[in-house]
Amino acid sequence: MDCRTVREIFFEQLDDPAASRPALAAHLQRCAGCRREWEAYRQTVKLLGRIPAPALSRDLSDGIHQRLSATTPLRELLRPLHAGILAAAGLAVILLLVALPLPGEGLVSVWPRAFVDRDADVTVLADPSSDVFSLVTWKPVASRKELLAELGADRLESWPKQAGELDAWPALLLVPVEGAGGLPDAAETAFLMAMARSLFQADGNRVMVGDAETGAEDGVRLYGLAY
Amino acid sequence: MIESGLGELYEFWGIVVSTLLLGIGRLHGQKSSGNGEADEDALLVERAREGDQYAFDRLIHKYQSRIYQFCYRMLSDPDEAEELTQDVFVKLYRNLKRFRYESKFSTWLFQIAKNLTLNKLKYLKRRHFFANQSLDEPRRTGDGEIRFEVADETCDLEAAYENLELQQLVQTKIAQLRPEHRVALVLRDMEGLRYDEIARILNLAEGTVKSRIHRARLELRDSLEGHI
Repeated sequence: MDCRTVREIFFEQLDDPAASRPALAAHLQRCAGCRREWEAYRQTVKLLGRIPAPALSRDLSDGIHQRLSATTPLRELLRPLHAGILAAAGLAVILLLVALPLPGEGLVSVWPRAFVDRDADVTVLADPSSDVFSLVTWKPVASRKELLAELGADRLESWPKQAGELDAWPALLLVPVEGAGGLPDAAETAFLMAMARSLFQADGNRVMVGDAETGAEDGVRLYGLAY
Repeated sequence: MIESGLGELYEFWGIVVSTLLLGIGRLHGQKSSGNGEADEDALLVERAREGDQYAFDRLIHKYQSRIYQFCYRMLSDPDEAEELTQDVFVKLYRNLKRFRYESKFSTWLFQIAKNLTLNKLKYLKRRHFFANQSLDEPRRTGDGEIRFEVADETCDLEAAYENLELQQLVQTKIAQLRPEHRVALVLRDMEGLRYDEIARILNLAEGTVKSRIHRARLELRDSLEGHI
């Protein structure tokens, strides 16, 4: 067993010191360098466990309630839209508007980050109210009833009044933007993009994928899909 | 004064009623998992979803310190950590209806905290927040300011563990780890979570979690060379 291999099993040794690892023991017996490394590794972990927890200077419940009463979900949604992101979002919107039909031609903005083409066969939306990153559905739905059954009524609660128009939407793809579930990682983003393209481009549709932060296409952060 | 007294009385009875309801719920075996703490959390969530403010307050009081500790260890700044802890609970409140009892409540809460923390780190990094922090400058902590000095190499290890400067140095070195390594290290070696819990919070396989923790430890050990 060489030194590199030995150091790779420090983790297991620390996790389960009772397990028999004769090769490791023999190596540590004869290799002073690995003995020092092992000791330092062990002490580092021990030190981490001994660092006292930082104490809260005050009870945060009042502040939390103040925030809850001061912000509506809509304000909460818009709060991160500081100047930089506004600029980036503006750029993204311009990119979309350049690439897509103008509103007068059927594209209707129903939310800062979502677009609906009423005349299209398939509607693709970013879900502005989502807080959990997971692909909710891309199943085509024929009616609002089907949509509600697919999503669960609570998901539509914070949608704008346009939710009433869902009856006219033949299909829906909800792509959460960011929130409690976090941003999609690169693999998830790649999967979503590939899936969206294969689903919709196959029918001759264009698929736009924007990055909410940079406005760049194919960015890590999905901000919406439109075709 | 009277209003304040009434408010406290009202709050007190609210907590009593909430506690009784939780007890009754437990007697009836609502969502019982055989784990007392998980059951209590599930009931608190259920009550909070129904608009019981006292149940939500109990969740805050139960978890605010742990979430603050996690945020502080990730961000290394007490004010930012407090802000973020509040954000976590605001986010929690807004998403209570989405909790599906598929994991422990604490795991879900840490998931929210992890996501907001990583977002915050990106935000602060873009604003060069950490570039202004130097080892030569006094460091602001929850206990006032301290200045880093190299540990006395002749001191024994037990004394070193108690050394506040060394502890702050470790915190600074942790802050220099890559966020994805840092979060795994903090959750395991400082918060003491189980691997399966961390895997769930980070949405990773357990093997990947262990690998990240190991890499983080090695990196930290290298950066602390000469100090321990």
